[in-house]
Amino acid sequence: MDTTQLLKGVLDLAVLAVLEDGEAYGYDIVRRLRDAGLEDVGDASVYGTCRRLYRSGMLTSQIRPSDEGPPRKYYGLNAVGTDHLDRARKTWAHFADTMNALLDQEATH
Amino acid sequence: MNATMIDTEVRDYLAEVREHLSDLPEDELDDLTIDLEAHLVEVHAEAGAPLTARLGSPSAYAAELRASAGFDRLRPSRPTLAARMAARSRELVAHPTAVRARDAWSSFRPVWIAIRGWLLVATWLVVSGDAMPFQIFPIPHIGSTLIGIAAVALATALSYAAAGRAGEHARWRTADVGFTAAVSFLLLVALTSGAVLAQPNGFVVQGPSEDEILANYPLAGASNIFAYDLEGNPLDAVLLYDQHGNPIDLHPWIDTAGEEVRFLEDRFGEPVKNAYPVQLFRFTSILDEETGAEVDAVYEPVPPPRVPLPDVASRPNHAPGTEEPAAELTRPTGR
Repeated sequence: MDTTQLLKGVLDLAVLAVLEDGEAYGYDIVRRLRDAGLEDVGDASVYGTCRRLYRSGMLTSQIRPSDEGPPRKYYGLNAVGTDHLDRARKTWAHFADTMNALLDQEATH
Repeated sequence: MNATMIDTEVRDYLAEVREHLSDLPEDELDDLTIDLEAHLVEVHAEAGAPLTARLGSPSAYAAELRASAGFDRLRPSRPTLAARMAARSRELVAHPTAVRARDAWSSFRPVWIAIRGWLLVATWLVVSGDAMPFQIFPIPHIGSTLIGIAAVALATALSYAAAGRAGEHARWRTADVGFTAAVSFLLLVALTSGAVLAQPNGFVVQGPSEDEILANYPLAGASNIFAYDLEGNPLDAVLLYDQHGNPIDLHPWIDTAGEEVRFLEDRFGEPVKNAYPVQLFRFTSILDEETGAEVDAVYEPVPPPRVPLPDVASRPNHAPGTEEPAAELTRPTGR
């Protein structure tokens, strides 16, 4: 199954999870997601997601100059984002358990 | 590489993405572009391949960025007023209260269909100003009770026909709804005009009340007159005229309850209707105690009312005819 469809639903959660480890700029987040195993994640999707999460008040953002080129925008989790991540984590765990149970059950039939 | 030396490939790619996002608010576009430029430079720096191989076409990149940033949700134009009203009415229709109301209505509907035919005829009669819509209550009286029954039967048949076939054809559905609407309207009119119809005599135009009339025109309530002299002696056959010299006829028969009116008569046997008091006679049957049959009858004059007489101390010095001439009177000698 193509994971891009699945990713769409959980990219918010994935980005928040990456930022839990500390501030990061867009491409940094992309790399960390890929390193974590989400190879199919699109660059533009991550940038857009960061922008949207920032707009909904879950992230801090700061533009910092870079040595190699144009300035980069660093995103970080704020209290709202942290709280949202905690709740989303629980929801995800429940959802994943349910799906696993469902899929296991289907497999035994 | 620095910001001023961006490769033309990056510049072109960036320009094209910006172009595809040009409909976004300017500050939003600028915000995204700062990120975008840094991103493209970094990808360009690490990849040995063209940007399009790594990131896809600028239009695809713009589309992905727009979608993930949540701007695609801003793009659809605002739904039209009609669409929003339709959506709102769907919400209202699905509301639990509305559902309960529909349930209650559907259980009441058979009763409504049965009675609305009668209601149509009855309310129509009331609204059209029929003073006696019923002679025997539930049966409307239209000229005759039979026509009333026929009208109700016809209206009820129509009611059932419209209700029964409402699902078959739009025209019957319209008839069904129209029937209910007509009855509801007539009912409303009948109820609001009920206050007017309930007034005595059914007069819609408000005149003076009976009390007001009697206060201003005392004779309006009189049907007989009893005259006395100052010593309290009742006067017989007093001729009364108004200020214009017209004989006053109070129509004494109007207030009687079975009494016989006997006017004074002139020599031609014509009643002198302004001679007071008019004598009333009461007719009483005498019945046989065993058989109940009338064995005799008694005519007795109705006694004059008992009246309080003023105790007059002195008479004003007044001689009739000296101060102002009396109205020219016509002797009641017949025609």
